[in-house]
Amino acid sequence: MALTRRRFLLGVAGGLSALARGRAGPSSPPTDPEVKAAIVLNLARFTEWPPGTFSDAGTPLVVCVWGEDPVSHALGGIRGETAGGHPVVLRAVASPDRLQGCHVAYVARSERRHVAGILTALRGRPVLSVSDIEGFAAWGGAVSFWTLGGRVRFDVNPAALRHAGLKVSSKVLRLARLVEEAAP
Amino acid sequence: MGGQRKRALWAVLAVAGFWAAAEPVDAGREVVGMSLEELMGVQVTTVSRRAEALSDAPAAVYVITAEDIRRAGVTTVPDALRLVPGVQVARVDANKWAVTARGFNGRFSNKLLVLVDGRTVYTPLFSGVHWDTQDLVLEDIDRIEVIRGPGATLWGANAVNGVINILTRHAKDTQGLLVSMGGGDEERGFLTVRYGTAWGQDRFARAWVRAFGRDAAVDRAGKTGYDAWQGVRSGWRMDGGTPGASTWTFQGEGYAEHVQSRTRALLAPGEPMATFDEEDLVRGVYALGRWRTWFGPASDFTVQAYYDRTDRSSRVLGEVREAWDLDLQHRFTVAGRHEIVWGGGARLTRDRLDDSFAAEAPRNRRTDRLWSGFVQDEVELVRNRLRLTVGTKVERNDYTGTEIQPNARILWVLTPRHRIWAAVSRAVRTPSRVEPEFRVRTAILPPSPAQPIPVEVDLLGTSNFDSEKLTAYELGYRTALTPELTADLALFYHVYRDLRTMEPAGSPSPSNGVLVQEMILDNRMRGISYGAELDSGWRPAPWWNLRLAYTWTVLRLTADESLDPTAEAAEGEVPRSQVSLRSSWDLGEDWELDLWVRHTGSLPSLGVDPYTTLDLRVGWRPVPGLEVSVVGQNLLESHHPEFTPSILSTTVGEVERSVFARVIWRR
Repeated sequence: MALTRRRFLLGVAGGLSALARGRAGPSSPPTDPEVKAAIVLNLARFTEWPPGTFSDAGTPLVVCVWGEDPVSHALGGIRGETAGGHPVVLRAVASPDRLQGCHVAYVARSERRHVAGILTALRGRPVLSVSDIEGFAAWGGAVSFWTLGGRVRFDVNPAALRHAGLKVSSKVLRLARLVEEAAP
Repeated sequence: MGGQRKRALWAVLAVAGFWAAAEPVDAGREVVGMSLEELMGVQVTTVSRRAEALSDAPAAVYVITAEDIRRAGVTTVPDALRLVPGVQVARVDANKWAVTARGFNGRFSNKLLVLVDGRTVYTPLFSGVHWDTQDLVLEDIDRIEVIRGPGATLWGANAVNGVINILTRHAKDTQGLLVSMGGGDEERGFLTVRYGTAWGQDRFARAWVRAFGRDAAVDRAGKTGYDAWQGVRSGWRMDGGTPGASTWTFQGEGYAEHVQSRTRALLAPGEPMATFDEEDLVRGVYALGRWRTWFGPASDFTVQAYYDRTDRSSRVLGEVREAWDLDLQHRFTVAGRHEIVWGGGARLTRDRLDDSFAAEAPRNRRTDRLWSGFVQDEVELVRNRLRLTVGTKVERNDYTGTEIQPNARILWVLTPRHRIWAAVSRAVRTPSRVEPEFRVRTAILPPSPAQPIPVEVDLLGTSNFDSEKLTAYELGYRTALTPELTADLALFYHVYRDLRTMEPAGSPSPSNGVLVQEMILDNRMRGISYGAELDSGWRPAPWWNLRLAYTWTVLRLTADESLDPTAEAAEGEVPRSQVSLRSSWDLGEDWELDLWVRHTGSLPSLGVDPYTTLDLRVGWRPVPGLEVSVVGQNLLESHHPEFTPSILSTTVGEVERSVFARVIWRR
């Protein structure tokens, strides 16, 4: 048995060294936050803001990020992309008075205790609010994510879009699960 | 057999080596360029919310994810718990385990609360868990949250040294068909078939059937024992509603198992101790419903009710038990800074015991009621920096009356990468059904020259037996030095009072031709325990994960006022140190190689030597939806003991080297 054990460890060591030489480097499938970040970009592309929101085509589309979670980190990957011709820029926000100029607000899961206050601050502003917090759309947010069978899905609250004065393409709405607001 | 195993190992290594050396396949991450339809079709790797859950909790928490369970290659819940620092898992025989946290282990370790989807699964008979009935469908477990230290404020009595909270997947995450089957030399054969479906956009359900057969363990000499088991179970889970508005869950299961035991007990007056084999039938059903409604983003109300029935035959002590349980919980915020959770519960449990000469109950039926209420306030002292949690549980039981279990915890976020927490809490272990009234005839000491008449030792329960109490002081530090390197350290200092002892009552008196020495239960021991628990993760490359768990535990008991010679033995029933190191490699697109080395220190009081084991798993996913794996467990020794049972002594079944193969097919 001792021999087997030694051979065994040798085999393991061999496997390890093969790995250490860097000859194996499988690409991993996209992660849940990466896909969610890419969906945020797509949503921005299919959203129409009230006239006059962008002064010209070169005006950046500002994605404000509130707090921290895996998606907020993955959003770094959409910086510099364009939506409707506008370059996407990211801005970290920490308080409601910094909301001026935001087109999209991503509310990270670290903020789940403060969702009520954030939604109040967002009320009536032409901002597309998105979150990975379960139930966000039902409480008055515009979009929230969920997963089904390892695939990302999203909820859209049409009333919230209406209050914000945003128009989202019917193409997007067809793919979403539409929710009604739970609380008045 | 040995040759076969050797060949199997070599095959595994050859395959692993080949794939390790294979050229990488490079597929770029073009996620950002995908259309919405494409993105919604992508199968994503779910990122565990472990880090988040962990960094937020002012307690020693460890989360075993579904991925951990899959890659560890375990087949039972207790084996999965071996991943967790601060938890002691020892297999007594093929179907019995001793599981605890921070010491005081035993087959009926009574300081641990175990919940499955919110349902308490320890039996009030011994305050312990029959792990054989928790043979869940592992593929359906979403995560196992393990809290070391008192968790009594939110969870209640018995959450003294820890809480194990097993959560199964939401029915939306188990859609379609799953067939999992396999077998080997110890895991003789297992088959799980599960099907999940949906109605409308937010109603989901799954149903499953599982059957298994497991081989008996061996004794020290390598001879096969009498502890094989097999069983079948079937159940369902339905989930519906919209999170944020209202959601509901309705689930249930039924099971039947044949469990073999070789027991040594005193079965009749005037006879010597007898060793006998019996195959017990264990059956059970439960159904649970939960409804949650939200009043706002941080305000919700949950009501949960369940019924649970277990029926266990046994020559020593059979038990039929029914439990009805109702729990209410309300969460709301005040001024945006206080998050208050309060609630209450009621439990009614009714049993019918089939006792014996070895374990004699004065009454075979008993109904117990338990009322509880709790309130907890989480105050954000400095936004996202400093959070204080204070709360208490008040519980009223039929044995010791009202018990109060408060705690105070603080979390300090130094920087997003460094967090410190500290806690002070009190918890009690209330008496089990046996302790207030049973007579347990534990042993008969054979005649000796000094004592020519055999002496029977009887343990006598008493209603004076009080709760065991713990005051715990804990300190923790968590860091993510880089996203690839994390560490979580918990230090604890536990002060126990009123621990159980057995005091001789008078001198031996003759009865049935023997002398009977009665020992009455009492609370005459004090003690402290302290230790450190470290969990560290390192990801040297995207395809390589390392996880280290180290546990150091010291228990010091003082039974000066007691005449119980065995009271302090528990000191030597917890290993001084435990180490678990796990490595998970992704080799190429569809191969996985997992290695798990564990070392457990000796248990001097039980005569168990230290041991080191190695588990190995090779997984292959040739096509999407199909996973084939071969797992070798305890590969370093042909067999080793992990524990020796004390009360209700069954024979020791040593843990054997074993191999099994498993095929999981999803569509």
